[in-house]
Amino acid sequence: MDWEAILLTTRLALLTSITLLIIGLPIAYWLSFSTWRYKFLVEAIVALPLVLPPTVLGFYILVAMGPRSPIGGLWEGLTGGHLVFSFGGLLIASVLYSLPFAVQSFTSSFNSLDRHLVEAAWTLGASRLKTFFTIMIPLSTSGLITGVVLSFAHTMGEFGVVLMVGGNIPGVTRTASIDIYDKVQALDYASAGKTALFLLIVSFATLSIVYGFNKRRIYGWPGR
Amino acid sequence: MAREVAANIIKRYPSGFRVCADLDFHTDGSVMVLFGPSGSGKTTLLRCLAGLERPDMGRVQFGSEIWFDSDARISVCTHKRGVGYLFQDYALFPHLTVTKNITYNLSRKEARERLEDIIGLLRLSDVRDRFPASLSGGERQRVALARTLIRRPKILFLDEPFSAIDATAREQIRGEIKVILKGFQTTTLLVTHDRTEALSLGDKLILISDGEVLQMGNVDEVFNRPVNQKVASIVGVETVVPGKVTAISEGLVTVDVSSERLFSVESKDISGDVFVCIRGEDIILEKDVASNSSARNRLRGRIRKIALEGPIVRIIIDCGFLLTALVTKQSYQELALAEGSEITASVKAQSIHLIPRV
Repeated sequence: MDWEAILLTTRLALLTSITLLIIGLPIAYWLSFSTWRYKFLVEAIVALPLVLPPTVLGFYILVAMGPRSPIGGLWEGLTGGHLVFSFGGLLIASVLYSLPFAVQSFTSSFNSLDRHLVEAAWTLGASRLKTFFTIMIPLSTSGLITGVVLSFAHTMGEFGVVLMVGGNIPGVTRTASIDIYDKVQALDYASAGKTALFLLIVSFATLSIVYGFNKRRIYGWPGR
Repeated sequence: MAREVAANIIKRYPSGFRVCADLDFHTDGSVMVLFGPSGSGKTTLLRCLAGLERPDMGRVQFGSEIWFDSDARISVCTHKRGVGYLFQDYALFPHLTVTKNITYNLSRKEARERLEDIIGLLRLSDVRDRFPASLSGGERQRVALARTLIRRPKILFLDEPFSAIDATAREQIRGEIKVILKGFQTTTLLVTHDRTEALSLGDKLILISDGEVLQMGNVDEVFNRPVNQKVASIVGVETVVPGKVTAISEGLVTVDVSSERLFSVESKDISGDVFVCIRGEDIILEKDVASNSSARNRLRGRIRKIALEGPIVRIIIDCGFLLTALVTKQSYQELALAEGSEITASVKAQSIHLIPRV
């Protein structure tokens, strides 16, 4: 088993989930409260990675991050390094790829919140930001955890986008799923099988924890 | 010092329904009832005043503060308006205990100074550490009220506050709430479609129908002197006069209404000031000073006004107070009633309905 690839994948998945928590929450808040007529367009863009082939998404990200593109050029000016085939580039790609998993979970949990609770907080003098952190977040924990964990699990297993944007540099961009692919190509089924089993167990465990946690979460009945 | 609230707003909905309200009142600590049938726009109006809904056009002013002005593009956020709002479902925070709900968003100092008073006043000490899910409807309402009143709102909005309480407890809870509101002297705007609620709680009444304010005034004034047919059909044709319970014996309640003495049958405990309600169709008119009949109340008076409304004739009689009777056109012709003539009105004690005024 290639521990270097597994560690790298875990690191990537963790950072992706954290980033998505930070940028996904404001997007979800906006999607849930905005009355803008063309909001559906934003919703469609957020959901795109769900239906787009990873190679298509990866291709556009690759082009956008290239040294001759504005984003790639800016990154190079700031850091001196390339964005493509680097861990930073991989992180950006992963965040985009898992965006719908996080944002849709967050949005649906905000939408299922009783709107009166939010309004009640406003009438009690709490600002929008304070209401968000003291009422919306605590009452949406299951949706937030679901979103974060799904992004994590999704990133752990991603393949197409990583290959397009990151390539296959050991220790930098070679993730577990690419490692499995390489091993199979080299007819090293034993090693591929171990890594595959590891990913399977991790995915199953994280999802079980999420669903188990969400089932138990009922307020007002302490001790049950 | 009384501050004036003035609102002139239009709110449109894609369905075509629109609320077009123009009203003003003083914040003098009285309870104003926003009364109208379901779907008449009462809650929308309340939400616009509280800033929870944004009107399409108009202006909302509270004293010298402008809360909303579509021309000047001003719209003050709800949390900066300093209003209190009691939601129909109370909207208690399910993840916080009763105490934490009440002190939500208060500074530590304010919470320390005010919490015990409000918990005592609203009898919440037994449930203070419980979560909302384990409270009864009445307890939830008191928690929600405590949570609002503890921050001394400039004005209190109550949206159908008793709809989530079962009918048996409603009357008692209504009395309690009335006492509490009077104690706080907070100007209150209460939304209801229930006439008993309007009569027992309101000082003033704003009648709204199809998104429009039709009449404003003292409660009994609107009920007795509807400005038009539409208002009359909403409030129902009925005599509503203030009275005072003077005695109760063997279930028979004696009520003094101006110079007259009326008898009513009320099973519930009642005392002090009341509104006496008599439906027009329950009144029997006789030309002579009739001999014996089973009706407990016999009022001699003079006909003030006669209004023909299709097959029904509405007759207003001055018998110390104004009494509205409804008779058929046939009876009206047979009795040869005329304005200014003397008449006896009989009402059974069971037909005199009393609503307590706390």
